Amino acid sequence: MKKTIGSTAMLFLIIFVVVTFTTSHAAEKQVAYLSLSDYTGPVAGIVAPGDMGAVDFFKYINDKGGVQGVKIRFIAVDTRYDVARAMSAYKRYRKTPKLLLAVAQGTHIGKAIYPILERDKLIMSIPGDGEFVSKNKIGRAFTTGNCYQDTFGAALDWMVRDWEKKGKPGKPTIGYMGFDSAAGKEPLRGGKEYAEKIGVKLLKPEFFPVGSTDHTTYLTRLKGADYIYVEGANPSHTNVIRDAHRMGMTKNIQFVCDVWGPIMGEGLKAHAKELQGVVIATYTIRGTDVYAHPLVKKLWAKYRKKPISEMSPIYAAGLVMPMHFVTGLESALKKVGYEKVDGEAIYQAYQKLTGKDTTQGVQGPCTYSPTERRGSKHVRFYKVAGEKIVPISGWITAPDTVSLHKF
Amino acid sequence: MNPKKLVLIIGIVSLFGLLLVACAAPKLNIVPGKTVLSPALFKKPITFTGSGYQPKETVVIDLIVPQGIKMKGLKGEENGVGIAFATADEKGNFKATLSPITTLNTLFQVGWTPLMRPDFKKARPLRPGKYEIVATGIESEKVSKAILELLPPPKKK
Repeated sequence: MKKTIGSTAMLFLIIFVVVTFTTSHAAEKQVAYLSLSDYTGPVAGIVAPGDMGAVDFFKYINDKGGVQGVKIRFIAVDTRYDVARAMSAYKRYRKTPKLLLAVAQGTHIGKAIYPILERDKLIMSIPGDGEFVSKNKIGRAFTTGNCYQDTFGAALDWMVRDWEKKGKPGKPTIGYMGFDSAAGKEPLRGGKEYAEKIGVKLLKPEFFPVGSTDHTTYLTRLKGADYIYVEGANPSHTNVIRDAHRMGMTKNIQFVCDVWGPIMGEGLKAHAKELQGVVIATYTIRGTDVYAHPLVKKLWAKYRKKPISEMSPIYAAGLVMPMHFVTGLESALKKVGYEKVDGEAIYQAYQKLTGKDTTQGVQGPCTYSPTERRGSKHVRFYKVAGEKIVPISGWITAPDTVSLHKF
Repeated sequence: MNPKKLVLIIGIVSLFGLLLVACAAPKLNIVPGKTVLSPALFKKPITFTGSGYQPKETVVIDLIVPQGIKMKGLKGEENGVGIAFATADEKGNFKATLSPITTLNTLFQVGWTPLMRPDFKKARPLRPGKYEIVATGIESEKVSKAILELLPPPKKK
C-alpha cells in the first residue's frame, strides 16, 4: 500500500514537474515588437486607430497559438509625437529580450532613433520617408508601403492621364500644398524632380503651419493650377478643400489628396458637399474597400465588438506593419529557430519577402528585398462619392521618384 | 633618460589619463534650475548641460515623475519621461534644450485639437515642486542627476 501511494505520489510529482516546465517554457517563447506611437498627442487621430488594428492583429495571432508557438509581445509607447519621449522609450526597451523591431511613427522620430537601432542590429518600420529607401542609405529601416514622394509621383501620372482623357492640350499645371514641416516637404524630395522629368509645370509649393484654420492666402496663390495635390493629416485636407470650395476653386481645379487624406466616416459627412469628386492616392486600401475586407471585418467583430460603422479606416492601415512582421518572423523562425531568432535573423527574413502577399490585399504585393526597403511599390486611387470613398483604380505601380533626389 | 623608459612613462601616464576620463563622474547642470512654468519657456527654454559621458554617445534626459502625479501618455509601470536628448562631443560633454513640443506635452501637459493645435483648456500643468532630472548615456549607461524646481506662479497683485 505504502509502495502504491509512494509510486502514485512520484507519478504526480513527475507530471507536475513536466507540466510546469513545459508550460513555463512555452510561456517564455515570445518575441517583442515595440511601437513608438502617438496616442494622446497631435497626430493621435490618425496613429491611434492604426495601432488598434495592430493590437488586434497580434491578439489574433497569439490566440491562434502564435507564430510556430512563439507569441508576440506588443509594447505600446505613447510618444505624444515627441522625439525626446521616443528616444527615452527606446532606451528603456532596447534591451527587452527578443526585441526584434521598433516602429517609429514620425519621420523625425525614425531619424533620431535609427543610428542607435542600427548598432543594436534591430529593424525599424517607418511610414513613408524616402530617405531610408534611397539606394545610398539602404539599411535596417523598412517603409510600410510606398514612399510619400512615389505616391506624389503616381498622383502626377494620374493627373496627366486625366488631363489627356479630357482632351486638353499640353500638360497640366500642378499646385502643391502641405504642412510646413519635414513631412510636408517629403513628397517634393524626388517628387519635384519627377514633375520636371514628365514635363508638368509645378507651381511654387505652398506650406501652411500645422493647425491652420484658414488656408485662403495659400490657396489664392495656386489659383492658376489645374490640379492641386494636398499633403497633410486628416482633417487638414478636408479643411483646405472646404476653404477652396468657399473660394470657388473646386469647380475648375481637381484636388488630389495624399495617403492621410479625407477619411470615410470622419469629417466626410460634415463636408461631403465640399469634398465631392476629390481624389485620394494611397498605398493601403481605403473607403469602401476597408469595410469589405474579410480580415478587417473579422478582427473588428472579434476584438472590438462594435458596429463596423464605428471603425476608422486607418484601423486597416495599422495591420500592415504587423502583417509584414508576422510573415518575416515565420520565415526567420523556420530558418534559425526560436533560440537564435534575433534582429539579424528578422532583418535577413524581411529581405526575402519580395513578391509575397503579406497583407492579404490591404496593400500591394511586398517588395522588401536586399536592395529594396519599400513595403510596396503600388498605389491605388479613390474618389469621394456622396458620403463614401470608392476605388477608381486597381493597384498601380508608382514611379521611383526617390532615385531622382540626392539624399 | 633611456628612450624606452620615456616611452613607458608616457604610456602609463596616457593610460592613467584615459582611465580618469573614463571613470570621471558624469555631471548634469540645468539652467535655470528654478523656474515658473510659463509661456516664457518657449522663448527662453530650459537647457541641460553635462559632462563625463562617452564621446559621441547619445545622452537621454528624463524627468522622474513623483508618485501621485499623473503624466499624460505614461503607463503605470513607467516612472520617467524623456524630455530631451543630445549627442555628446569628443570630450563627453553635451548640451540639450527643452523643445517647444516637450514643454507643451510634458510641462504644460496640454491636450491636442483634431487640427493638431495645443489645447490649453485640457492642459494639466505640472504642479510646483522639485523634480529629479536624470541624464543617462545610452552606451555607457552612466547616470547623472540634478533637480529642476518648478516655482509657484507669482501672486497677482
